[in-house]
Amino acid sequence: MTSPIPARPDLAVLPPSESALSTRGLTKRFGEKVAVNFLDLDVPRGSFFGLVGPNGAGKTTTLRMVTGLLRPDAGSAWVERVDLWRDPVAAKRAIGVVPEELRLFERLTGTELLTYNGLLRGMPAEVVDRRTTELLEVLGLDDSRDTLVVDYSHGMRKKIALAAALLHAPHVLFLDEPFEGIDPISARIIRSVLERHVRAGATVMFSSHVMEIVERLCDRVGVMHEGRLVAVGPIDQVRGGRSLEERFAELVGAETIREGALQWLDSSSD
Amino acid sequence: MARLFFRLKLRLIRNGMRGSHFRAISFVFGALFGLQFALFGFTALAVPSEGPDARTTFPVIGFTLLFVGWAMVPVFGFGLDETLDPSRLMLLPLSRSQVMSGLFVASATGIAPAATLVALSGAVLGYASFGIGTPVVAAAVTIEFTLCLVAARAVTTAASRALRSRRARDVWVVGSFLFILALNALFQLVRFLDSRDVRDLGDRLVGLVRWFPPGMLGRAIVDADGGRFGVAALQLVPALAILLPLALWWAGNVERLTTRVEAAATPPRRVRIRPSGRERATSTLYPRIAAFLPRNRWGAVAAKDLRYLWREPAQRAQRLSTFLFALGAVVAVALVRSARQPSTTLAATAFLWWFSLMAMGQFGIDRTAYWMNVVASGDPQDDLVGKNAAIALVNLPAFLGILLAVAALTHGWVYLPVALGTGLGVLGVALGVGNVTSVRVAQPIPESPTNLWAQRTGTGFGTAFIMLGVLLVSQLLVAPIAALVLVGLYAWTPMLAVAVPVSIGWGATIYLIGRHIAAGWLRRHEAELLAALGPRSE
Repeated sequence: MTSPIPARPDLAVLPPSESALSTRGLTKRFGEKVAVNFLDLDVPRGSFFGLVGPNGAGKTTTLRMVTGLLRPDAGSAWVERVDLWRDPVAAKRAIGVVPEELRLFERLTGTELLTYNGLLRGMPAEVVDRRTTELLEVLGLDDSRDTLVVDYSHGMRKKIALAAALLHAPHVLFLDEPFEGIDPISARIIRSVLERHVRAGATVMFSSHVMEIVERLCDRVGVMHEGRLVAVGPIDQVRGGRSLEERFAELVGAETIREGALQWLDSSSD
Repeated sequence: MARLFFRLKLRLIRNGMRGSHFRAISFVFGALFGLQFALFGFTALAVPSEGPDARTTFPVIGFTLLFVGWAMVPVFGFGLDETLDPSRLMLLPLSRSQVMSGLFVASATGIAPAATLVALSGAVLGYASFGIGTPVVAAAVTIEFTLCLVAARAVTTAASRALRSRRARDVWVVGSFLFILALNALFQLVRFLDSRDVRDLGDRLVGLVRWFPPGMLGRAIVDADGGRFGVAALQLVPALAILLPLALWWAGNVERLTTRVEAAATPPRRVRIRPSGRERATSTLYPRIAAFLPRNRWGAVAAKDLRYLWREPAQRAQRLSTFLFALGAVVAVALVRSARQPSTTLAATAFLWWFSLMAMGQFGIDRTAYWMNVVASGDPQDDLVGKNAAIALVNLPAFLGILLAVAALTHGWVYLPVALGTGLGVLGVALGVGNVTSVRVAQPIPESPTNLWAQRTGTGFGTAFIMLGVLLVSQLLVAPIAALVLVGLYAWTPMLAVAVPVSIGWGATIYLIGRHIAAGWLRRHEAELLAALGPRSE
């Protein structure tokens, strides 16, 4: 039997006017487990926002709920002050998404995937043509433009997914673990594209396990643990004079190896 | 080591059923099938038919078929059985002989080997009767069993690397689908032949396979039964002789697979849609037959689905087999005189109905990649329109081809307009019903590298019942069209002229209603459809 989610009387209704993304009381549960628990979050326009947390903290679930991919059990999400779940067509016009676990249309080539995505969004064919060519070139996928996505490496998939998300120049870009399992060159390209997008005035929100990347790129950070935000704000404020990793470990209560454990590792096995 | 692999195999079988009712039920059905096979084989060998022909030919044919089955079938299941792939053992500090003996034991553990051994052991009872010939018969049975296992291992190991590449698997899926189709066609052909011809063919086949090692093992049993022990013992030698090279081939492949670093199995495939190098990016998405489609959301969805129909191996295999079957029906019309009636032209509509059943699960092939459509702002009704257009673009030309061929063969040109009109009506009904089921009873088409029937294993029993209900409903909706045609054919001919506009109107109405219901639901539940397209254990 599942325990009921407690009601929240102090639920704010309208998001702040300067927010690119706002959530109020956003909640999702999977059976017994509450994956995201009354999440209140405001991501200011033009910010580079990092969402960090241990595995199972609720980062992916949050990103899916604020992009229309997963319906929340309770709460609301606004993108550019448009209620995503009440007016999804208007809200989705402003967003680009790079999910982590979901697949791509793998039996299309890189070029076909981008043009498919552009035409889905109702972009004029000429604009799709021009931007597809440029994105493939900038992301180093020009040589693989006619290769099926199923034959792409992990890094290439990340890049083609990023290209698809950028094609319509979204105001808010959501990325789930964009730097997970990719080589340094691909990571560098993705990083520079994201920095360029933020400089142009867009908002980027991404989840990551890699604290160094979050520290280097983001001006704001949110730390999630067990479905709740345990810290959020400008990165210097959250760090409090320490490294993000130290602060993160403190916030989520990371366990250390007890004294004297694994002593057998000191000698080589025979 | 052998004991460890034996326990590993049992553990894998047990764990494979955990958390999946479907797998547990599949195991039970597999066990029942194995039991049936074991009982049939055991009885057939233990109590052979009294006719002299049957008594001598059954072991020869049986042993040969068993060997071929063991050598071929595990390749279909490659990737499903963890113990079958030696490269999974690469990182363990095992010698080649340890790996091989372990794999052999794993191979000998399970329903299929147990059923095989039980079936074969019937020969000891039926052909040796525990008499003086028992050692020879027992040896033949043991050698046959070992030969089957080693052949299975040798073939799967050799195929192991090849089947790792995506393209090789694609070819395999399509090839094996067509192979089964060809086999079925062969059986149908045999049915047409005179029974004496079939018997002659069988005799010639037995005469041929008895000289191959598995056939000779079968023959050894027969000779032992006849008291020719020396000849019987000699017939064991060829099988023993091929056992060694087979084992060496297997061992060589195991070593190569576990110790050598291989280059990428296949280089990435470049798809050149059209030869011109400077074409517009958007044009590459649209296949030639769909080049006229608009450059918008529904046009893009239709173009993508058409690409998938050819590039996705399971889809390609299904389409090819459907069309080949239809072609077979046209050939049957040409060959069977009683079918060459002008009114047979109207029956071509049934093929369009059959082709259009693919509309029942139009989002299954997208699987979770459908997220791209979900996050794109726009009306999801366009997704339905695009998918419907793709189905129509594939099926209508095929239907037209069959229709023209049947009309030409039966001189049924007069029925052509009626068949066209009712065909459009039937397509409308199929798409209308299909749109509703596609969003409300959505199922992903599982992607299995080698399991030919994967698309069926992904359908839960509950969904299967719902789909049966859906089929019934759609048949009821097609019934008015069929009724008009039947009245026109058998009671009042002018009804055929009425059937054309009424069928088109009826089909269009059902289509529009179905699309309206599906689109209305989809606009509010895109996230739910995406969730339904995710991988789920049945």
